[in-house]
Amino acid sequence: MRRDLSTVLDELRSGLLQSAANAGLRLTEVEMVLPMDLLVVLRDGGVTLLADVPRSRADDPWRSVEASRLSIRWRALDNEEATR
Amino acid sequence: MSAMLPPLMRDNGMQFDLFIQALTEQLDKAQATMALKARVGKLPLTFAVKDVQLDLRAFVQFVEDDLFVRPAAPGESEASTIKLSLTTITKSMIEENSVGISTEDPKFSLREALGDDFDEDRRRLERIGVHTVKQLNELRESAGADVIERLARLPVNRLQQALMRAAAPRASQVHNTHPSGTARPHDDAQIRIHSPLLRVGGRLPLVQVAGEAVPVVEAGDGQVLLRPLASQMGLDAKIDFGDGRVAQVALCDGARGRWLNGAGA
Repeated sequence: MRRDLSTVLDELRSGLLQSAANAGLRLTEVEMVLPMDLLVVLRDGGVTLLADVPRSRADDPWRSVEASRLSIRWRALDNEEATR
Repeated sequence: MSAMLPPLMRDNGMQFDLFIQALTEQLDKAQATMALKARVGKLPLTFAVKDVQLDLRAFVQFVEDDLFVRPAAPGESEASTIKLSLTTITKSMIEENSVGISTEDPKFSLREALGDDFDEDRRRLERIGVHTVKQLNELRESAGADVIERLARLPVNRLQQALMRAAAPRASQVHNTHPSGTARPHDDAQIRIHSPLLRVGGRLPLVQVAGEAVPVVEAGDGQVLLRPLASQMGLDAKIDFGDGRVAQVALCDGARGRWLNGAGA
């Protein structure tokens, strides 16, 4: 189910942090490359970018070389650095 | 493509610049959410997006002069690939490259000046970086109304209406007190008239109620302070800007003026 791209990114980030916390690790930097299904829609008088990542083997076409790909790098910042 | 899209978007996709706007809006929103969560949770660390690269598989075509892209659905082959790379910028870089919106007088924000009737037009202007009446007027003077219309995708008549609405004078009552701490008596009430057309160094506007001049206390950029007679309070004042533009506004708190000769823009 496609949702706002920002929601997908937030869920990925939360999942990463939770997984790391469960393993007793602190992540400093993560890079991921994801096949991504993208759709632009008209909403609230503007344009919104919806997205989702493959969730099961039924989504195999998304994994093909023909799919769009989002490469994203996350980095942990202390709050002071984040506002600088 | 979704059935919620109009036929042009289903067939040809979206103008490329609108796609970029949608992408950056989503990234900004994601970044803001992360910062907010770190603040609310009082976390010492926040996890920020450092770099983003999107290999967009899409069908690309020109419709008239606009470049349209339609993202390929899963399994659709023979699409083109557009590589977009974005990186984060620091707070100081943002400040160097943006107008300090927070320092602008909220009375001259587009939202306040245009009202709800122009919600869609305001959003279109904000997408090209115009957030205040002052910015709108400066852009019109430097680039011209036709450039604004083209960039913001506004119809001609809507921009003219928006400009007139934004520049119309508005009145607010001054609620200050005497040094003794007592409220200002009614016969000493002051009314401030706001309009982006009022400039320091320019000619003072002639303000009249029923042919009688209204005393001007002081004038500054974007405003003039009046001390109307008690008998003039609440009545319609005619404001002659001296350059052919004449507006009318009631001398009472919160009154919004209108142009008498349609020359406001």
